[in-house]
Amino acid sequence: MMNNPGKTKGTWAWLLQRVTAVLILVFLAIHIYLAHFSNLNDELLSWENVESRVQALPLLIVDYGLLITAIFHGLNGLRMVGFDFIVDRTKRRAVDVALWIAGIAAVIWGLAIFAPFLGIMGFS
Amino acid sequence: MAGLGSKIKWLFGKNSDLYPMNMPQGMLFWAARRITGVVLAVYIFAHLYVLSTFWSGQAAWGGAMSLMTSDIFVFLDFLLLGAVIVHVVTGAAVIMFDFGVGVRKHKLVYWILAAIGVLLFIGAAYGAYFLIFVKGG
Repeated sequence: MMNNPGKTKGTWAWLLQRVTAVLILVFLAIHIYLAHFSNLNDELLSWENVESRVQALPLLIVDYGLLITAIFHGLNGLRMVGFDFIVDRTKRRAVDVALWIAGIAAVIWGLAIFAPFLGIMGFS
Repeated sequence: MAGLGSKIKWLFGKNSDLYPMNMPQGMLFWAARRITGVVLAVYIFAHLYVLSTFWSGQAAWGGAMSLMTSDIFVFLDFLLLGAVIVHVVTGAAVIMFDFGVGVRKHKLVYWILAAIGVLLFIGAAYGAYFLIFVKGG
């Protein structure tokens, strides 16, 4: 703890939790409005409408931004809850490794979800 | 019933835990934020799982969406939005206090944020009512 205080204080996790909180608020508002409320008489969730939304770059940026910030915020939040119950440093490090793997895997999973509309990963 | 007045005063008076300014709002906000936070973190993965139906093609997506837009799932979405509102309102207090805003009036801040949360929740309830009973029916 004393040897490397900068690495153990968790300042970045604390700061990023707040930054992502604000970003999520913005991204989530745009995401929910466009995907679910922008036209109540239209089938906003139909394949064609999703396709046209995804192929418009600004919205793709909002959705991917929401993906990355929400996964960071969610997993870092679980880390905060978990560390109230896990004090042992070795176990905490194992939790950190597991959460990083889960987070990176979830981001890759999320980025790949729109593959059929983007013509990548074997979809045309 | 002599003493009833003093009992009421004991229960709800200025020295009681139930008096608005004496409630442990900070602890309640903390607990509410944690519980909704865990729920929302789990939801992210459920959301990704449902969206992965894109990979199974147009017909599978249509089937998934007719289930997701059914009344029961719209109601679940309403509960989800409730969790988001609780998380946002309680989280707003954290960020405010981190920046030193309202620290000296934190009990008042908690009550104002709770009131904003209730108003947003009423709005969400109306939205759910509209989608289930007006548009759906």
